[in-house]
Parts: sequence; C-alpha cells; structure tokens
Amino acid sequence: MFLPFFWRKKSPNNGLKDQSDQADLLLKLVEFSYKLGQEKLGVKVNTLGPPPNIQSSRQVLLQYVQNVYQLLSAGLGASLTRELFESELTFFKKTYGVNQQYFELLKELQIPVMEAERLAVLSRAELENELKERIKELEEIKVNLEGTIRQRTQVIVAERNKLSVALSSISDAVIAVDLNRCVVICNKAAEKIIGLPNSAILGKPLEQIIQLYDKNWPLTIEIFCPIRTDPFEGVIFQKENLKLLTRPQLQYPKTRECFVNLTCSKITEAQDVNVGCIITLHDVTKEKQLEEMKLDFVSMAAHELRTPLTSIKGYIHILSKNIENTLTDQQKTYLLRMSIATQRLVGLVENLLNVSRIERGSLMLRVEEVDWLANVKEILAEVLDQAKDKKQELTIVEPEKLMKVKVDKFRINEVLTNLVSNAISYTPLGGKIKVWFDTSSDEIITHISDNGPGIPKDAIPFLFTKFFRVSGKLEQGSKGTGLGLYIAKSIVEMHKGKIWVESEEGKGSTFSFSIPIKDLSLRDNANKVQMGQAYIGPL
Amino acid sequence: MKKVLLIEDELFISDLYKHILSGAGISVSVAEDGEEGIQKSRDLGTSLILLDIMLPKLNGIEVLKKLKEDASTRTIPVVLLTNLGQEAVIKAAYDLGAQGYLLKVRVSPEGLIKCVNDYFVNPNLKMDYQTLDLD
Repeated sequence: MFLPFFWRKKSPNNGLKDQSDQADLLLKLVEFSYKLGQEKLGVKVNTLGPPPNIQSSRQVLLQYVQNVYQLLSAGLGASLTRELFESELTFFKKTYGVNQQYFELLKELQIPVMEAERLAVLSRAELENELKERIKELEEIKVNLEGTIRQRTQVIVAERNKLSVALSSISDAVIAVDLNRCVVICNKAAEKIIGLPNSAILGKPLEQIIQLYDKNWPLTIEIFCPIRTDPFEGVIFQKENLKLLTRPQLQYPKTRECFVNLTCSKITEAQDVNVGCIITLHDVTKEKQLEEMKLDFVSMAAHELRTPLTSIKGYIHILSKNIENTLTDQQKTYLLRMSIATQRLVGLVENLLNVSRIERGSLMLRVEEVDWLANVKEILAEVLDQAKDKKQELTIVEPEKLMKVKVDKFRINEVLTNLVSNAISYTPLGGKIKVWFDTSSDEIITHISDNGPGIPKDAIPFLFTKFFRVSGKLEQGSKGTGLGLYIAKSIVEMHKGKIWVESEEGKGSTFSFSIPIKDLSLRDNANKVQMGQAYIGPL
Repeated sequence: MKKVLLIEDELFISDLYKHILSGAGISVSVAEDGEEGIQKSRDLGTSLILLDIMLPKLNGIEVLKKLKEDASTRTIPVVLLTNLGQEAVIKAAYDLGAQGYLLKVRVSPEGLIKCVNDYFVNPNLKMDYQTLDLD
C-alpha cells in the first residue's frame, strides 16, 4: 500500500507547523484509506469511521492502523498474519512506543503479542521479578530432571547387570556385532568356543576373528551375519553343523576348529542402538565327533562282516559247480539255501552301510537312462530262485510301450529287489506275486503286490521308518533289520518319487513307487498302460 | 607266461581266488603280507597285482606307494581287491596310481576272471573312479 510509504517519508512532527496541521493531515489520510478501500478493493470497510472529534493524533494513528488492517484483511480475504501487519505495527511502535494502548489494539485486532514487546512495557522492577520467577521454575525443573536421570541410570545399571549375568550363564556363545560387523558383546561361552579372551574379540571385525564353513564351502559373512535396517525382528539366518575356524591373531597364533549350530537374529531398533546382528553358536563338536566315530565303526564293522562272507559265498559257488552232478535234489536245495542266506547277509551289510550313508547325507545318485521294463525283468530273474524255493508264482504284466527312465540303476534296483524280496518273504508257500505298471505324463509307477497276510492298519504309518518291524502275525516270518523300507524310501525320494503301500489284513499288500520318466512324448498320454501278461517263473 | 600276484593275508580268501583263477588257466602267485608282496612283485612275468588293503606288516596303501616308487614295479597295473569301501581310502589309492577297484564280497568268480584277462590284454586299463560304488 502506498499510503504507509507516504506516511513514513516524514516523521509526525517534521516539517509541520503545529498540532492542528498534523491532525488535519492524519484525518485526511484516514479518509483516504477508507476511500481507497471502497474504490480499489470494492469492499465496505468497518463503519468505524473517522472519529468526529480527534482527541489526539495518536488516536487517529490508531484508527489508521485499524483501517489498514481491515483493508488488508478484506482485500486479502485470508486470515491476517503478524508478518503481514508487522510493518504497520513497527511504524506505530517507533512513533508512539510500546504501551498499554498498543497491546489493547493488538488484542482487538487479534494479533499475537510478542514476548519482547510484552517485556518492553514492563518496568525494571517488574522485569527483575519476572526473571526471578523464571529462574525459580528452571531450578525446580533441573532438580526434577536430575532425580529422573539418577533413577533411570540406576535402572539401566541394574538391567545391564542382569543382562551380564544372564549372558555369562548361557552355555551357548552370544556375540553381538554393530552395523559394521564389529563385536560389541561377547559372553564367556563365546570366548570358550572361539578360544580367545574377551580383549581379543571386542571391538574387532567379526570376519577377522572367525571363519565358517558349510561342508567345506566357506560361508561369507554377508550370509551368516546379514546387516539389515528394516523393522523386522527375529531370526534372519540359521544353519547347523558349520565348521568354525578361529583365525590366528597376533598374540594368539594357534587356530582352533570346532563345529557349531549358528543362529543369527536382529532387533527392530538395530539402527538406533547400533546393533547389527546377534549371533548365537551352539557347540556340536562332541556330537559330530561321536557321529564320525559311529560312521567309522560302521565301515569297519562292514569290512569285518564282509570278510567271512566272501569265503562263504565263494566256496558255495565252487562247491556247487564241482559236485553238482553228484548231488541229490535235496542236497542241491540245501546248497541253494546256503547261497540265499549268504546273499541275504551280504544285503544286510549293504543296508547298514546305506543307512550310514543316508544319515551322513553322502548318498549320491548317478543318474542314467534305463530301459525300465528290461531292468525290472532282470531283477525279477535274479530273485526267481527265492520264489521257486517257496513254490510261488512271480508274474509281470508287460506294458505295450517301452519306457525309459532317468535313474541311478544300482540304487533303484536296491529298492526293487527289496520290495520283491519282501513280497516273497512275507508271502507263504504257493503264493502269488505280481508286478505291473502305471504311466502318467512324467512318471512311471511300479506296483508289487502279493497275496500274503497283509499289514495291520496301525503299522502302515511306521512302515518306512528305521528299524520298524511289524509285530503280530508276521513275527514268525519276520526277517531283516527293519532298514530295507527306510532305505527304499530315501532312495525313491532322492529320485523325487513317492513310495507307498496299500494293504488289508488277510488280503495281501501292494507296494508302489514312482520314478521320473525320460521320454517326454509320453507326457501327453496320461493313460494307464496295462497289456498282455507274461510269466517269468513257472510253478 | 603272464601271472597275477595276489597280495592277501586271509588264507580262505587267497585259496578261493587261487582256485578260481587257476581254474581259468591263469597263473597265480600269493603273498601273505605287504613286505612279501613287494618282494614277489619283482618276480618275472608279474603282469597284474591284486592288492588287499588290510594287510599285516605293511598295509595296502603303503605297499602301493612303494610299488610305484620302484622303477621295476611301477608299470605293473594294480587293482584293489578289498572289502573296504571308504571313499577316502580308495581315493588315496587312486591318487597313488591304482587302476581298479573290486569289492570282494560282490565280485563273482566270472567277474574276477574277466577282470584279470582284461588287464592282461591292456595293462593301461583304468576303472573310472567316478563310476565306482563306494561306501
């Protein structure tokens, strides 16, 4: 507004003859401001019009300030802020000072009072009082704060002690690292596992202290100690049976090796408290050593068992050949049984070794393309002697199409042999064993059924577990270590197949397992293929 | 005349294999321990060594090492004939120059005879370690 500008060009008493001149001028200015409001802004300003009797130029000035305010707020149409009106108030203050009238004006105009303005009207005495009040308030606040801080500190110290005691009594290693993976917490158990004192661990980058391996593959620190700043709280990495190697340090040149189960967790406030991860290590070295010993024992036991078996097997073979023509049928049968029994023993030793391999996780599949039908017929021919001996009928339902599968021939034949041998063993004299197939788009299912006594319903869920033997009706005829089906299941599942049984007591059992198909063209023909019948062994 | 040296301490087993091999017209010589094995390996005509691992005095791995260090026996093919199946042991033997592995309890008489003849025909034959079925 140009009016204030005009106004400021001269101080009220500068260049004017007397008071009345001044008043005159002020009046004119007030009138003008009204006119301006009406003409330029098209608004009707407050009907506070120019006072009929001007008591003092100060009153007029006040009036003027009010007018300007109204004009501004009308023109701007928005709530007036102090900043907008500041220039007008500043002029008022400069001319007439900050006093009671000034504050009343602010109140009327609903303009907030600034602390400095308020203080400006206070007398020295009043100011001093005010200061004393304020100081008293601050003193009280200070005392309260100090009390609170003392209390809080006590609580923190108590919590820290609790934590310290808890950590030192935990038998697992607890290591906390900051966001740069430097160790900030390390309990007694951690010192023991790592084999270094606290002083050599705290503050150091974790990478420089330990190295972890998963089955001889080095685990990088980003994997077992990931630093995340998201709000997740909980376990972020977990692995068992890791080898831990302590890196040689300047004062502690010896490396240390042990085995651990590692769990790494993070808290929500990770960034706030500078705790990147909390790692716990559970020492499993003794368990691992025990495992290793067991495995060595199994290997040595297997060797010891195989040695006499080699002689027995070998001499039966020679004897059979040499004296075949001189033997009676019954004697031939006896020799055959010795051979079967020996083979069973050999199979048992293999089973024990297989189980130890499976437990160790070192059973490897060597997959090749196999003509499944031909393979099954081969296996059945091998066990034919056993069936013959029990006067059992062993048949195969030959499908039309020649199927090729991708399997570890040796291992899958262990499964097949086991299932067929079981069928022969658990079916009485004169029984019937049948082998047939189902084909789907990507697998072949082989079924082996018998008309033996069947399996009790409550035994079925446990059939494929280690060392399980069905008791009851089958006790008499029970053979084997209870490992065969466990191994069979492991092998089939390693082939990404399934193995299952359908059985009813008194009616017989059907064991089935699936294996992946090689020929992809069969994918489109999800038919069950059952054609023809061929006898493998005559009665 | 080509012959096989069988280094095997168990009498039952050495007799068994002697019987099987000589029945097929193969000449066999037997050593009962590691040291005797090394001595006999220098005999003229030794064209194949069937080596057991669990032996008295010097075990099979040590025997193999010595055989390969000696220029006069280095080129004789050595096939492990053992009931031990630990991968670590067999790998060690292969690294030292063993050319084959037979598991006693599994090999048939016919299989053994065929193996010996194969190595007589081709002394450089080597059974692929990857296809061995170990414990």
